[in-house]
Amino acid sequence: MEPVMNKDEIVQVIVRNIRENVEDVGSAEIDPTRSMEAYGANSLDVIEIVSCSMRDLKIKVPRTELAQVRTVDELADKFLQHMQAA
Amino acid sequence: MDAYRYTLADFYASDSPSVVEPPADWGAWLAEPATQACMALFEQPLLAAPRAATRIASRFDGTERDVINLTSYNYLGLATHPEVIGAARDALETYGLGASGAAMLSGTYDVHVRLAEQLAAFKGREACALFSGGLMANYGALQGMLRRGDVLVMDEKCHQSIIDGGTLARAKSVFFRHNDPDALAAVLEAHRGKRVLVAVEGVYSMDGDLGDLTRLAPVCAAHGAPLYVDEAHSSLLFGRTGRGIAELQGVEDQVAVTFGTLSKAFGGVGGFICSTQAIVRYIKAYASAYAFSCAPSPPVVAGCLKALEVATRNHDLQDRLWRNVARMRANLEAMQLNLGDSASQVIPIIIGDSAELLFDIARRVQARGVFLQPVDYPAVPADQRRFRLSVTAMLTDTQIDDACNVIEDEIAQRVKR
Ligand SMILES: Cc1ncc(COP(=O)(O)O)c(C=O)c1O
Repeated sequence: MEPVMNKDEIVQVIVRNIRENVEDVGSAEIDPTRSMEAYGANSLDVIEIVSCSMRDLKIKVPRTELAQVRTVDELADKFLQHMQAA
Repeated sequence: MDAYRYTLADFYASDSPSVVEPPADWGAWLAEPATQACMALFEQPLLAAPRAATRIASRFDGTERDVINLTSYNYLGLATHPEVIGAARDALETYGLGASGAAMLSGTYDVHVRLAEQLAAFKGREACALFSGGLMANYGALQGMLRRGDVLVMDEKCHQSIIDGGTLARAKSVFFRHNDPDALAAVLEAHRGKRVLVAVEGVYSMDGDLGDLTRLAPVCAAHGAPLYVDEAHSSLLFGRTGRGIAELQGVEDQVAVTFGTLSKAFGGVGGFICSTQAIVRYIKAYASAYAFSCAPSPPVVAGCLKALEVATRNHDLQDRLWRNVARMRANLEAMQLNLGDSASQVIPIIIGDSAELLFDIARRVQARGVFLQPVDYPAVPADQRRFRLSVTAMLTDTQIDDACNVIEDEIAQRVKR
């Protein structure tokens, strides 16, 4: 069985996908506790960021359970919970 | 697999090795009995005209049944109006079924010219461009005007056809909080120096609330940002002469481009935009939906011309519609249902976050002869799953009251606010 990733590693995957999907971030430092929208991600970008991150992490969390997520940190927590439950 | 945990939003991303094979888990989800039971509510064939009473071949229990129709865009009854049908029939004899050409080459007939002129006059604008669909008119107008590097600023509740139009134009898409002038101002501030277009709607299609143009238009003006208003669900219905919410709220002079569809109150199919001669001409040159698609069917165009005449010669149909809306609302409010901020003929009945409850209620309501369709996430927020009721001018008091009795038994009794 693969070891469950730790939260830092999950955060890194999400941050990489923000950089790849949002034009305006550039090389700005990404604070995981700020809203993704603060980095110029619109709702369409967020859908893409979540899809790419779930693909990279090989997990599938129902979208309805992510509706309230605004920050990288919150998203990483949801992913982690899901991995631990699996 | 717990089918109710998943929605259409979960299978857009695909891990299938081939684009002509859907993802494997999509197939598994669709095969679940619960999913099939939900899906059976969609694409149920109507067996008769979209009148207040119609007939449906149910896909969830295989029965054909008469229903009271609370899910129709035929707001004024023009799709089934005898004069409209007569005009379309005559045009069918004269011109045949299809336009058989793109508008630019051989698809423009005298009826198309007349309808475009009359729509422009109706909306108080210099010019109008017709498209074969409302969605195409949004695609076309936005692709025709916006370029890479431009910014399309949208209310977060804008219709998919507006969002897609911005993507097609390769403009940057930015959303602001629904009807919030401060949020709009902040977005415009952040994009100073760019060419922008602000897109909002007259009546929002899933909530039935109105665009707050009175407060948004001055923000646009202060930033020199042109305003685009989608009046899909408000044309022919709102404002003194039926031009829509911009007329109702007295801001027409601050609207750069106004959009309408022929598929809703007009009772046909097609879409249009009205603005200055200069920009309409330019849009037509660069909108793929205009330049590279067959012109609307002449009988439909002739029917819509008649529909415009019928709907604007007096207020009779509108008066009936608003009377019916008032009666429906009074009934629903007495049941303490959550109707959101609806202020139009589109009335949501918001159920909450349970897809299971939503679809179960939908089957019961329809089995009792009321055609009311559920709207699930991601079309609406996951905690605001709902029924989307549309009132039409054709409903009788008895039909409204009978339908409300079913709504009372099946919805109000089971959904506590
Ligand atoms: C707000 C809005 N704009 C555009 C459209 C597209 O119009 P049509 O259905 O005529 O293509 C719709 C409806 O579907 C709508 O609700």
